[in-house]
Amino acid sequence: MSFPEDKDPFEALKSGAVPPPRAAARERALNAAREAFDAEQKKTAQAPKGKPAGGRLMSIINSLKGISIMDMRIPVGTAAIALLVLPLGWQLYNTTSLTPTSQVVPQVNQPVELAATDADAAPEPAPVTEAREETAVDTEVALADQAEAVAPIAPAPVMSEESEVGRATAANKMAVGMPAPVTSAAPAGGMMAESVADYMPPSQAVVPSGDEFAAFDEQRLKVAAEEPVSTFSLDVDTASYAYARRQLEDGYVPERDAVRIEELINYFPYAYPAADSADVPFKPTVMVYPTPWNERTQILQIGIKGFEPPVADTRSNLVFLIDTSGSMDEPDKLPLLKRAFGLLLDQLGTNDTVSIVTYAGSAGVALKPTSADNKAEIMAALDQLYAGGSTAGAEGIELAYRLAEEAHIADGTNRVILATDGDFNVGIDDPEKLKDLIANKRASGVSLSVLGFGRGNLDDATMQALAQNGNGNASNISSFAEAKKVLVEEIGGTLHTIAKDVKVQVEFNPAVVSEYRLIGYETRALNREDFNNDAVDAGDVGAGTTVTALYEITPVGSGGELVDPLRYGGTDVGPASEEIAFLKMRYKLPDSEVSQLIEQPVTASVVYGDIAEAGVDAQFAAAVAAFGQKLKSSVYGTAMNWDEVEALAQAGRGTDEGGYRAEFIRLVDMASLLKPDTHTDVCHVSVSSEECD
Amino acid sequence: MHAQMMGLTAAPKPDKADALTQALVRRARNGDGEAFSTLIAGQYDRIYGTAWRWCGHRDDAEDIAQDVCVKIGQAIARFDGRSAFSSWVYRITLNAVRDWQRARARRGRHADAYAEVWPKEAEAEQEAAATSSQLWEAVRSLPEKQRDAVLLVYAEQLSHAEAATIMGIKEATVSFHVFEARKTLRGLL
Repeated sequence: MSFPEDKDPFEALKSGAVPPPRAAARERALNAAREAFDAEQKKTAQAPKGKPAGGRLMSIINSLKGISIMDMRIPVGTAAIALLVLPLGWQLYNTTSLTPTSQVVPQVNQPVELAATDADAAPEPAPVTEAREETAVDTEVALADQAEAVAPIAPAPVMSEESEVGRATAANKMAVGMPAPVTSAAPAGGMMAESVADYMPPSQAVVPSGDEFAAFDEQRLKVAAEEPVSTFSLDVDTASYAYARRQLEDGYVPERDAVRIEELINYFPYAYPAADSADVPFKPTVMVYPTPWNERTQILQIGIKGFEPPVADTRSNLVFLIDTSGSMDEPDKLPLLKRAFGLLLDQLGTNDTVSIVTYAGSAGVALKPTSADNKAEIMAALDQLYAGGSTAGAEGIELAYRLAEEAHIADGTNRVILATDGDFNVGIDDPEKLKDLIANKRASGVSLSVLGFGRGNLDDATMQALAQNGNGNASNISSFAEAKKVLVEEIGGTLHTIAKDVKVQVEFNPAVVSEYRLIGYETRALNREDFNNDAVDAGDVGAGTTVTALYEITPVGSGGELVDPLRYGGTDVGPASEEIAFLKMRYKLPDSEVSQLIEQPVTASVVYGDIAEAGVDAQFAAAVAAFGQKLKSSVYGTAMNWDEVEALAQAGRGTDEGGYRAEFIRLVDMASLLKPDTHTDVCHVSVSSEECD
Repeated sequence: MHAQMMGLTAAPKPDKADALTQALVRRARNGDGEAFSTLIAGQYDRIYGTAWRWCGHRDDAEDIAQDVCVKIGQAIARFDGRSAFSSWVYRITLNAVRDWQRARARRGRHADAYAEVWPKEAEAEQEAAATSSQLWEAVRSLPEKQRDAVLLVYAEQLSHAEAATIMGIKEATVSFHVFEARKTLRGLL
């Protein structure tokens, strides 16, 4: 083939017809793109300012590329360093090392691109510092933000007496565009209150995890004379502890909203006396002992342990609803899930039925209801699951419920166990409709539990909501050890409900208790009138589960009150009584719709003068509460330092059969490194708590 | 779609489609999922077409196009607007083609010696189609830079300046690569 000289051979390329793409491929590509986009949005939604690891193609102009004769990058880079670093170094040398202040200038790993990108393309800063008036983003402020977001952990320098010098330093640094502590309370160089205004914002960068948590406000202190009654629903979940543990072990401080203190406390088994029969499935254990972080207050601890029927008597019909979307294809997700279910299977026997439904990716029934005797068959079905494909909304959840109803066991456990890494695309897109469906199915006797796997994609809020609506529990399975705990040691609690809709109502006696505060349970608060309304859903207690709730109470006349007494009256409290409080609990037996009532006064007979006398469980629960409060920078109870928390936990170790308490002590160590005690938290001194919630 | 070149020359009046794309890009960059869906659906055929011209297989082109769509989804928030969106998409596509071809080379699977003659193409005489597919095959077997230059200029019908922006080289270099390609193909064809 040859071309005449006058004709451009390439002209023929114009007419090349492209065979059309197949519609399915196009659909696939568009879905995948949309998913990638959404995932990216999720990631950047909470990301702190700064450049995430792994650069992307920011521009198509890659100058300095392909200059093969002489690589200009080194000389240019050197010149840039000389121009930038030397003056800065000089400035630093002049303003810090020779001036008598304790100002510590954080290192800034300043990505150069940031200054170049325009303001709206920069991701939103994480709300870790003050809410500044949104002004036009200039490079200096961007730099300062950078410093807040990526500075390593540095003790917050508090202004010394030479704050004049310090101010000059700050002003100087502003002048050369160095990150200076920008606070909402005072602009640099302005008048400032000594203690508050001039600390460095917390440099503990919360790394965007990609996991989502519902935000909640902390329980506030209540005045017993004004609000004597406190009502909440029990919470038997433990997901928050598993998540926090994993974050800490990887060297991150978990986000505030990821720490639910009651779930931290309830992760651990406690040795409360169990109930005698299934008719009254639990009895409360109450103790009052001094608060370890506040000498003027006491802790009222309420603990229950669910009745544990012998395993042979239980019958379960379980449907595993397994997420097989592509994101499950990680060693700590689907493969771990298979091993975990292998463990669970070993706990089941002739009385039990198992079925498997998958959604997303390979959707459909993987195993029809099968007696748990046929272990080989069930394991084979599990082994065949593979993660692949994008999330195609198959009718996963309805299918699961259909199978559960098909194999329904009249007086046993009927439960759908949803295992996912955060993809809830189970066939109903609308979360509200999904909740309604689950609540309706709950009424027909099929409950739902959620097991979360992996990290980076978890949608904790949805997990909690589904489990709460489904009378089940939500757990995070982060390791094989955790799988063993949830599915072997506490299988009764995981599978067999002994009491439904357990509500707690405590009425404090204002003559004895002036203020009180429930620790944790923020997401489980109930209205006072909900207590006697059997239609209101609440937490469920599984066989052998222990649940603990702590109140911090301020006795009258102890001087520990945070709220000033009223000037005009209001001091008239009812008939003087010796009782500290009155505890009421309501629960329903699993197959009943009418609630039972348990009542018990809290009298001086359960008050201990020393926390050690109250026993190891009291010490340990208090240590976990202190740990949780410190971890989330609570406005209460952070007066203990890490060593004291650790000592208290050590004292409360007891026999520790599962080794969980020892593990917790290790976590306290880890937390003390990641969030040192000297660390001043912005929320301690903040005028409003808006930006801290 | 015209790439809006930076500079002081008066840019051509953007047509409607162009303006629409720009608006969609802006909304997608600010996190609007709907806008992104519309945008990527509008871009898919072009991406797929480019991928097909570069590699010549429908399956591969579909795979590449999907990769490119995912990459765009991941990176659009960081698209800085310093170049035209279409140029940016081209750039990602060309990179994806390159990655894919390298991966393929690593896997040791070689491209078929002869591209198939698609029935759609064969509507003219068989011979013309054969000639054309031979030419395509030859162009695809050119060295990377030459191939990119030729396909951008002739198959995608972009100006030398636009091709230069996409390839990250000077305009004169594009002409040089096209010239070299002609020389190379004289030997080949």
